[in-house]
Amino acid sequence: MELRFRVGSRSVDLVVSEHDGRTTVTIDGREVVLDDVAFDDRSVTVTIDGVRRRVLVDSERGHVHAAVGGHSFEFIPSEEAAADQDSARFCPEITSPMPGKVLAVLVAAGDIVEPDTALLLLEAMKMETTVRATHRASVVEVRVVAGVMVGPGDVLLRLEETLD
Amino acid sequence: MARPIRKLLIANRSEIACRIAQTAREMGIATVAVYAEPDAGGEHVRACDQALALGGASSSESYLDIDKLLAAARDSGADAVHPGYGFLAERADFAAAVEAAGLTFVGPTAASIDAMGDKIRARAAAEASGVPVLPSAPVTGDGERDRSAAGKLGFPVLVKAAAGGGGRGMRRVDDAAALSEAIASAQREAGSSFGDDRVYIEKFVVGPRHIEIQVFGDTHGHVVHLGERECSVQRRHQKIIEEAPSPVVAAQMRTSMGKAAVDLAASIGYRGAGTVEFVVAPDGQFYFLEMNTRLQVEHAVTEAVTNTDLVRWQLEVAMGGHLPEKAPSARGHAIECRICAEDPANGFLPSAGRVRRVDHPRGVGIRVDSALRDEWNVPVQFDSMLAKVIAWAPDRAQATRRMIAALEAFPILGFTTNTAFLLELLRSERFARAEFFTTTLDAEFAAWKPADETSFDVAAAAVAMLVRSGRTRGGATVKGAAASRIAGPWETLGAWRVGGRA
Repeated sequence: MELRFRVGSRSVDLVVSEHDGRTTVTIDGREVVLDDVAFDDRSVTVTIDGVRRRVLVDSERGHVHAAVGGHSFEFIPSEEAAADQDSARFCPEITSPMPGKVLAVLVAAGDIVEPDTALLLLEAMKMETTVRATHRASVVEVRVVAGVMVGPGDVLLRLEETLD
Repeated sequence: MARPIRKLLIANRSEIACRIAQTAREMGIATVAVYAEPDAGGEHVRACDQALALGGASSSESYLDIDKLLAAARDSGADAVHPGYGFLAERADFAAAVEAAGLTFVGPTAASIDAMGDKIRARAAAEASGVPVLPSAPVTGDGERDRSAAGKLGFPVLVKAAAGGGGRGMRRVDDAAALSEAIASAQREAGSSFGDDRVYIEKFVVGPRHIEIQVFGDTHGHVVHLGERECSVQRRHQKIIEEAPSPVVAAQMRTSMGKAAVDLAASIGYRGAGTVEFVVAPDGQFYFLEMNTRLQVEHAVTEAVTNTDLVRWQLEVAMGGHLPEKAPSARGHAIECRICAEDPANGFLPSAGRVRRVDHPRGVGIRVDSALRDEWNVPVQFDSMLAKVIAWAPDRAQATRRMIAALEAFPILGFTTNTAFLLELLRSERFARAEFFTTTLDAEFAAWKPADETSFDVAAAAVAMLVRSGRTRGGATVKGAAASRIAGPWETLGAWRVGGRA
């Protein structure tokens, strides 16, 4: 069985195969032999190299969530995941990096902003975060006002790249 | 003076409200929870005998609204109020209003909170008691004068809120050009967190450690200390790992820091739990930072090494009881980790959301103060701390290993927490050598990325086996919705299921 997922910005290929009653999962080419696998209604316990570890799991709409060793991963079926965003590329939409409240909008439509210009102040869990421009650009549209709550990925501002 | 407490209103939320409720319950005191709208299904609501809605979604409309809290106390028939930490715990007007309503405030007098809650006046009181303080200057609002005053102290300086604590409203400033923006930003944060935007400037110690003394006073003029806590593992002034005893405090230093803390507390007739915080320079010289007139988040490490219940002490002092002549001394070593809804690989941005599933660690020497449970939606309106884990062992190395095992057994499924980051710190040579300054995390771990490929492989293997077993619930939905797309893993799963399992 072959599976392809996206986890964060990373693409992951998983191949499950069986030889002589032993199950091997190949993770991006690395072979992991499972000595034992056990399921209950909230976890999968896998034994690898004699070490047994319990992984909390849950799935929703095809996404599989798995938590182990202090990490919580979301495995998204790869055909559904958005294409890689090249972080160096100009992005015309400034989106919220987190759930929270807009404390202040520091720019207005028509403004020209430089890299590192503070665009908005957000607050979540009582900590202030500044959203800054990454490129020289003009502000096309401001979608939020101070005081509104936003979710991760919500569009806050729209920009248009401006060349010198 | 002595007045029994029969029913206690806990003016707080989440894990600390649960922790206070536990002790009250042990003492036969009935408990009343209060809650804001996002906390309606919260664990603290379930932990108390009775729960009253405050209404409102924000702190200011709920846990910071004195009128609503007093009305809840009156309506529930509570005879005492415990403020917990954060929110109104260090607001003199709240303590005064509680007492004016004829209720017992489980904490110091309004006058003590006033004297210490304002850091500018607290410094003066510390100086008057002979406790060493750092040079400082007021913020005048005149940019030129402020830059000149800061220049005289010598950069780096720290812009600090006069009110509050927990690192909010604090900014380190390395040169004059950055001062005005830092002051404005600190004032905004202080204003929104504490409703008081006054800030001042203090000399910044290079290579600082944060070491604090737990003090306790009763209403009979007796003050004791319960030793120190080392809290140097901090990010942006927020403690994340605390321990007791401090790996760098020897008996003589403990005695002098303890005496300074007790002298300061006694000079203001302090009652209840308090913490005198010091910044310790690399040469071992210590300077008064501030006094927190409340229980601290990290009180549990002191409880672990001194074998005490400090909430019980608070309640007994509030009922007019006597403290022991001498506090028990520490045995063994305790470490606390704060589990926070923050993504350390992404600039520590808040990452709250739904806890799909959670397992809590347990076992010998492990304590978990948590308000997490399956399907709980962590509100974004409040603090990012989700839980705290405390490990006690006979020595520091064993306590560290015990903590590592506990955090590995504390999966929180649904969003990113700082647990993997904590694990890496605990496993580091630097932690083993106790070489953390309060500035270390910000300087060296700001761009941290997880290096733990093993956990990823284990998770991936588990996911693969889960899919193969046909136990994922979502597969069919995706298959239907994705009918027009090219075959993906879930279609493969569907085909595999049709084929049947060997």
